[in-house]
Amino acid sequence: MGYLEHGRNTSTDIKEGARIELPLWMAEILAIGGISDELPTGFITVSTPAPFSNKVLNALSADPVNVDLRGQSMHFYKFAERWLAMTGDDALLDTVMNTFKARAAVVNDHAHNTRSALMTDRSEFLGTLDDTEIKLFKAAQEASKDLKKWTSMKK
Amino acid sequence: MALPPKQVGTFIPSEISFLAENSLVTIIPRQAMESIELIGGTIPSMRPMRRIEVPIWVAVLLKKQSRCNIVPPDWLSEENLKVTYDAEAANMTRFSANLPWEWVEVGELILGSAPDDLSSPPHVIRNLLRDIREVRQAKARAGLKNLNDSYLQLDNVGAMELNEIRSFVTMAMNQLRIMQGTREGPEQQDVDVEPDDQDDDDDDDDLPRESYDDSMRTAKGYQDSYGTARNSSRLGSEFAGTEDERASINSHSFTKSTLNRSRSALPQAPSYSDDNDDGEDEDNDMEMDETYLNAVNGN
Repeated sequence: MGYLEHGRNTSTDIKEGARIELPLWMAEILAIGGISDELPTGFITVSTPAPFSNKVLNALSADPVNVDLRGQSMHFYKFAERWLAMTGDDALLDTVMNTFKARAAVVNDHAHNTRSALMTDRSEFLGTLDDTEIKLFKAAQEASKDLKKWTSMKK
Repeated sequence: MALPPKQVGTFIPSEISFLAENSLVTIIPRQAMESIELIGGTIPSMRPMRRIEVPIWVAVLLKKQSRCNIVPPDWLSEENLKVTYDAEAANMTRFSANLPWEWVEVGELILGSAPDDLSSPPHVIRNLLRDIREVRQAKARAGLKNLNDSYLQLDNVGAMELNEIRSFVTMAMNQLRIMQGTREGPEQQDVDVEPDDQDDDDDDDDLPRESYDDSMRTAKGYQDSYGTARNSSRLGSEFAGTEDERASINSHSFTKSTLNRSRSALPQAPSYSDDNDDGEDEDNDMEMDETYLNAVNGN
């Protein structure tokens, strides 16, 4: 099973107690799939993924807007959804939701203010958006653009 | 679907404007004309200098042919707009109720088609309208900071203003709702016993119990505050599990459901300054919404 590990030799097996990175879907299956009477722990124990580590969460609760979410995970919120569905960690959920709210407001500001969005400090923020936030940004920007087009057409 | 994705979930401004053209405005005809029977309503017969009410699209058409003068609605006069502006600026947490639902569109239409019929110079009116819009936009923006997963209350907001934030708000709230659905707190279980709960038998069993409860709470809240619109709230709670963006009650107060209003719902000649009358139209909208929303959001 060594091929599950990136860049490692593919011939040897993974030893018990080794730490490896697996895709979430596989980790989920392995963590619950093997549970039976004789093997109560399942094949693997899942440790908290890096995007939800305490370090990141502390940064998020301190100042959501200045954290590079994209750097943590391209799909931060979708990842969080799946992870939370698995673990049901309410404290994490609160942090993630507060982050989302705080950042969504800023995203909206940027979307309605395109010219300044091109200024350096702002485009810096836009570079840190995760996929969900980018979709939000596009939606808000489209709406604002359409309205401007309609207003200028009338004159 | 042949529509571009962004138009599936929301209107474009020209559509909002088109819908607004059906609202009534007073005109002073300059010529006599027989009444016209149309599917959407009857255009009354006209006699010169006798004031009548017609849909804006008729008024604009006649105005273009110099067959009538448009009487601008009261709220569009300079004094009233100034009063409105002051009211808006004075209270930064509420939208003032002085403006009708389609104020942006109607303002533009009248300014565009009949600037000479206004009581004040058009640029004065235009500037006032723009000032009011900016104040209100600032409020909407501030309001978005308080997003949550179940509802957003925006009393007295206009159709166009609502449309501007609709796509953003629905997406953001949907995301919040999904995340909230993963919560596993016992405190979420307390609302699911409702005394008059008959329509609980539907198809949301596959949804997280929590989000269902949340939306029940929303729908219930609306029932309480708008007893008259009980029917539409019931409708809302019935679909609550699949869609907690539900329950628009009268045209001047919204939850996510109004934000999500379907494209197919064309208001039947909404009357102008009368806020309460629109309740029934809204109910129609809601019914059309169900299929539409389920199609769009039934993942």
